[in-house]
Amino acid sequence: MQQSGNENLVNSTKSNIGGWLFLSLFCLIGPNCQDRQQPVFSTFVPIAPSYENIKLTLQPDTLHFQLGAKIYNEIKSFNYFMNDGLAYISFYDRRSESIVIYNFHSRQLCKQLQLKRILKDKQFYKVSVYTQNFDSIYVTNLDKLYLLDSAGRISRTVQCRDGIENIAFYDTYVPIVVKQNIIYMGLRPFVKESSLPAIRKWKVLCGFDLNKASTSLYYPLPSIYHKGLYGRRFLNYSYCLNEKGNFVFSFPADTSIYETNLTDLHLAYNARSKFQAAPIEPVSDEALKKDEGSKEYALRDAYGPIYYDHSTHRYLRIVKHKIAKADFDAQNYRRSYGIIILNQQFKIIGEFLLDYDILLDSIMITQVGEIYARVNKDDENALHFVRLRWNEDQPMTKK
Amino acid sequence: MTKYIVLLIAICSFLACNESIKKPENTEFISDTVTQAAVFNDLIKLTNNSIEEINLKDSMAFLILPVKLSCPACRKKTIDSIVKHQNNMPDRHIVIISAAEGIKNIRSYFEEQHKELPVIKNQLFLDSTHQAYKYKLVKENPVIFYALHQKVYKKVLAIPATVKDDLCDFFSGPQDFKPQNDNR
Repeated sequence: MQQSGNENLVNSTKSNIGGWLFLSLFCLIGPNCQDRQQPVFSTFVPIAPSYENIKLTLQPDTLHFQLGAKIYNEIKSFNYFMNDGLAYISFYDRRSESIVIYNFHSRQLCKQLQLKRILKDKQFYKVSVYTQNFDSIYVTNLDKLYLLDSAGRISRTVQCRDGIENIAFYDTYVPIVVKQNIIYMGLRPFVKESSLPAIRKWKVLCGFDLNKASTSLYYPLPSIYHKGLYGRRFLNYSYCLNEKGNFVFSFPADTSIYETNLTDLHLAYNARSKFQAAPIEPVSDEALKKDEGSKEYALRDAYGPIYYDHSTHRYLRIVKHKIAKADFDAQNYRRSYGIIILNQQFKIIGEFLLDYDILLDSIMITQVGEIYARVNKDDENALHFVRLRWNEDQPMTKK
Repeated sequence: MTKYIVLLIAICSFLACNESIKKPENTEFISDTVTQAAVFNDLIKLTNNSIEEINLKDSMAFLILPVKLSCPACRKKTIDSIVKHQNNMPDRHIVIISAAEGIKNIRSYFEEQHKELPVIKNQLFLDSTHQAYKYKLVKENPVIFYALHQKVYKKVLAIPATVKDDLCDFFSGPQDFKPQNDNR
C-alpha cells in the first residue's frame, strides 16, 4: 500500500512536472505567438514583363514659384489641388512654419498661413500638410491630425493611437486617401530597426475617423520583412491609389508591389528592375548596431516611391541602383536611378534609367495628367518643377 | 560610533556635491597625427582656403555652428555671442555657420533673434552647402576645434549644459592660446 502510495506520488509528481512544463512552454510561446503578427498573405499574380520603348522625357516647359522674403526653400510637403475650378499648389515651409498656397497657373502667391498662430503653444515636430481645398487643410504634428480651413480655424483634432509611436504624415509618395469617412495616412517608420518582433508588429497605415475621433492601424509589412532585418532606410515605403480605389504598395526591399483594399483583396505583382542582378539581402544585426545602415543601404538595390498616373493608368515605380563597394570606399556615393512602368493590369511595360536630376519623392501628377517633378532644391528664391512627358505622346515619336 | 556615522554622511555629501558640480564631459582630445592634419585641412577648406599662411602656422580655433541642426538653446547662445563679439574677435579664431539650405536660411535665424548676420572679414564664413556635415565635422550642435601648427588637437562639442562656458572660452580665447597682442 505504501509502495502503491509512493508510485502514486511519483506518478502524480511526474504528471505535475509534465503539467508545469506544458504551462511553462505555453507561457513562453503562447504570448509570443499572439504578439507575432503574421504578414498579409497576398496571392502572387505572375505576369511576364514586356519592355517597350516607353519612358518619361524632360520637357522644356517648367514651373517656377518665386519665394518671398519670408518664404524658404525648406519644403516638407506639397500637393496640387483644385478649388472652384482653379488649380493651386500648397507647400509646407518648415523654416517659416507656414502653409503657402500659390495659384498653379499664374504662379502668384495666394495665401500664407502661419501655423504657429494657429497651433498656439504647440511644440512642432515632423509637421506635414495636405491641402484638399480652401475649406479642408490636413495638418499632422507629433501624434495629432488637425483639420483646418484657410482662415486658420481648426474644426477637428484627432490623436493617433499609441501616442508618438505612431506619427502619421502626408507626402507625395504617401498620399491622403479618404474612403468611407476614414482618412488614411502613412505612418513614419518610427520602429526599432534592429527588432524583428517590433517590425513584424508594425503597421504602415493610420486611419482617422473624424466623426468618432478615433484611429485604427492597418497593413503590416510584407513577408520579406518578417524574415530578416533591413534597417530603417528600407522601411520608407510608398503607396498610391489606383482607379479601383485600391492601395498599391511599394516597399524598398521587395521586388513585388501589393494591391489591396485592406479587407479581402490582397494581390502581389512582379515589379522587379531588369537591372537588379541579385536578391536584396537582409542587413546584419551587427551592421545596424554599428550604425552602418546607410552604408548597407547604399550597397543594395532598393525601390522607392510608387505613383499612379490616372490619365494613362500607368504605375511609376522608382528604383535606386546599388553602388559598388569600391565606389563607396572612394566616397563616390552617387547612385543611378530608374523608373519601372507598369500598365493598368500590372504588367511591366518599360524601364528606363534617369538621365536627368529630379527629386524622386516629389513627382506630382495634375488633374489633367501633367507630370511634374521638383528640381534645383537649393535655389533659395524659387521652387522649380520640370515637366515630364511620355515619349509616345511627343510629336516626334508619333511619326 | 555616532561620530563615524556623521563622518560617513559628510563624506557621502561631499562626494555627492562634487558629482553634482562636475562638468559634463564634452571634450575630445585628438592624438592621432594623421587625423589631426586631416581635420585641420577640412576646416581650412570651409574657409575657402583663405587663411593667410602666417596664421596657419600659429594657434587657431574654429567654431562651427550648424544653424539648423543645433538645439534652440545652443543656437541662440551662439548667435548672441557671434553678434556680441563681431568687433572684438580674438585673432585666428574663425566662425563658420553651416546649413544646407543656403544663406537666406542662415540669415533667417539671426533675424528670428532680431539681429543681423554680421560680416567679419576673414573670420566669419558661411558654409551654405553644409560641407561641414559632409566632412563629418559637425552633427547636431556647435563644435569648437582647437589647433596648433596646422594640427587639431582638441574638439569641444557644445551641449546645453556647457555651451555658455564653451563659447566664453572661444570668444575670450582660452588661457593657453590667448593671442599675444591681446592685452585685455
